[in-house]
Amino acid sequence: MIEVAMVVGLVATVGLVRGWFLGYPAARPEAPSLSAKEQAVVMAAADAMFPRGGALPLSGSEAGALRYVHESLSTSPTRIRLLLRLLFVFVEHGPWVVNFRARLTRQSPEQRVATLRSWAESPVYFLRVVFTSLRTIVSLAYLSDNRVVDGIGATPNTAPFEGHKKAVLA
Amino acid sequence: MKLQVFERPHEGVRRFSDYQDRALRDRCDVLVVGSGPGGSVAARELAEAGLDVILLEEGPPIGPQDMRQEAGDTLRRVFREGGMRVARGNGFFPTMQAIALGGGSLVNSAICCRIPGWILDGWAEEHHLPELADGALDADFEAVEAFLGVTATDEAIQGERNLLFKRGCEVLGIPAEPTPRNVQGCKGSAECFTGCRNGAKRSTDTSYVPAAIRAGARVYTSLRAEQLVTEGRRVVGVRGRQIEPFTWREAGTFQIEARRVVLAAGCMATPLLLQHAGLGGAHAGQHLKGHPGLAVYGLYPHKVEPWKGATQGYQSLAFLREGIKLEVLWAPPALLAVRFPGFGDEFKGHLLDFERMAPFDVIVSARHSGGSVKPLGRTMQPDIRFDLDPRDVAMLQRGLCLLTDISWAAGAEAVQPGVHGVPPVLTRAMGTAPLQRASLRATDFTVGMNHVFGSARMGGNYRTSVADSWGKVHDAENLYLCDTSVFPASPHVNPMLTCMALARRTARRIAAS
Ligand SMILES: Cc1cc2nc3c(=O)[nH]c(=O)nc-3n(C[C@H](O)[C@H](O)[C@H](O)COP(=O)(O)OP(=O)(O)OC[C@H]3O[C@@H](n4cnc5c(N)ncnc54)[C@H](O)[C@@H]3O)c2cc1C
Ligand code: SF4
Repeated sequence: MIEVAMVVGLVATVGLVRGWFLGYPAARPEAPSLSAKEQAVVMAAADAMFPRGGALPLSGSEAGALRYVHESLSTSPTRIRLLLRLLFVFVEHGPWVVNFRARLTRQSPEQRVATLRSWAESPVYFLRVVFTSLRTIVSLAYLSDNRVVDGIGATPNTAPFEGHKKAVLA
Repeated sequence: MKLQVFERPHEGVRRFSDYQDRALRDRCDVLVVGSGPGGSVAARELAEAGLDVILLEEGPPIGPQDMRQEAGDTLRRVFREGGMRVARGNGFFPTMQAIALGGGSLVNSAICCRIPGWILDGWAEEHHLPELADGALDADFEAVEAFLGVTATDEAIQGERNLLFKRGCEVLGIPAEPTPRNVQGCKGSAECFTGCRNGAKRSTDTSYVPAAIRAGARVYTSLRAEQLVTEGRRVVGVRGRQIEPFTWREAGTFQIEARRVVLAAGCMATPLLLQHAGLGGAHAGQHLKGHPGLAVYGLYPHKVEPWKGATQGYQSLAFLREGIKLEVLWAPPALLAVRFPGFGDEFKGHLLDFERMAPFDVIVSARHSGGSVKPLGRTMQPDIRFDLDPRDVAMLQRGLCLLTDISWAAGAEAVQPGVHGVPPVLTRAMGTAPLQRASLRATDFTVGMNHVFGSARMGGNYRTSVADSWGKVHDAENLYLCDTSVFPASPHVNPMLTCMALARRTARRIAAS
């Protein structure tokens, strides 16, 4: 009996260690404030929300999501930093906590979208808050890239009516 | 009256780099903590009355060269907690406060609305403040408006986004008007949130603060007040720390002695200073109120180019008696986009539709809702609680329906209401009905709350308030409050101008005493 319990415990521990710590690509140097795991989560979420191609061809990771999140983390007050790190942990392991699915970074791109969509539309308020928080960070990152801003036509302009006035006068 | 314009508004402002980590000491007649709309008005009035004034500010001065158009950069550099501050209660309610010389006036949309007389009369009656009734603030409003150059937004810089609201209201017969704002030479760049690079916004760092300096006030930035120094019922000074701009690293210390102290650190920080000092009684930090706000995004068949035009150039006060104010909205696209539905191509499609969008917002007086502000331990970090009452949720819902109707009347082909449980995109065929029919709760939308007040409210009754109608804290001999924390209830309109009028009144009383 004791042996069975030990084997079950061992398997569970290995599973936990593997699920929690292992299998992440090495951390990239451009985002030193993020661990390898956090980097993987940010990239997975950014590319699920903004995959490459389409009308705005840049993907979330190509638009510099990692660098952006690194800068945010390194200049945020401690409390916000902690909350952001907890957010990344939940985003990664939430699929398992919520319905025993593989962690986010182990899912296929389609599964990731399905997971995040289910949170966005969930009747559970907490999951919607998690989604909105993640969406906020990733959208801020995506729209921090000038190519995206130019793509939607929102290039900052301090005097938007002056050209028009000149044209009318001419 | 000719406007006082300052070519180099931040000249004479002492900065973090001036302190070189040394312990700083100074003394004055009146110390004003906080340089937002309330504090800067008080500092100027007191200095012009010939008093020796120090104005203290935790944030740095931000000039056009420091402004960033990228939303995230601005959030990190100019807003507390990186712009991610939330009030918790029966939902999470994001609330933004600036950390910069000029406080909220640096980042706000410059809307200057007088509190209607009937609301002030209501405050007077409900909170035993007869001194505020019957137009008692009129002279203060006039003086502040004249100094700031408040004028109705000019049609030439409204842009299509604002004009759509105007047209929609006209079609429905809803009275609406160009927003009165404290700007001079506004070019309609819609960048108010990230700071006015045109120098057109008369934020207090470019108006009241330089006027205070000209009148002899000393202005110290990057100093965070942490502790009021007291002797019995008197406040004899303030202690705190030097704070490095943008990294928010704590550096050297400071202490300033003063014969009188004015707290104008804003609705979230003033009650913390009171509570740390054991002043203000049981009501310090209680009765937090705010204006919850929501927006709908209308999508039009033609180009709107919403990034062109005064940030919030049109408004309707038609439903003010119900507690509802309607406005045109703009903010950096990255912030507005957070709410777009969908993923991948669908989401990117909404981004590309941005140029055909016009967001309109509603703020409600939220009479039935409220919360509290308490310090987290001994720190100056607030623990903010807020519960949004179902009756105020219903008011928000009514506001969203009105805005949706205005969008249809203006020609929108679709509207995004941004409400959980309601289709993410309403078409003309669907109309407003799905929004009207929905049974909504506080958790069904992300309600922002950038107008906050009431956390150290004034009142005629010592047992239910913190300060009297002159902002004097009941249980201290020489401590005054000059920010929105003193509002006893909602002003129903944007709070800045009321805050400034009250601050002027309080400062003149201090000067005369
Ligand atoms: C994005 C946004 C848009 C808005 N738009 C409008 C608008 O168009 N019209 C309107 O009427 N209202 C608007 N508001 C609200 C308005 O800006 C505020 O109500 C107003 O700024 C409040 O003024 P205040 O003096 O009470 O506090 P604040 O403006 O918050 O000023 C307090 C100051 O004290 C400083 N401070 C805080 N703690 C300390 C400390 N411990 N030591 C030293 N200094 C400290 C802060 O850094 C800050 O500069 C807006 C707010 C936001 C966030
Ligand atoms: S709309 Fe543009 S120019 Fe006008 S006050 Fe705002 S930021 Fe300045």
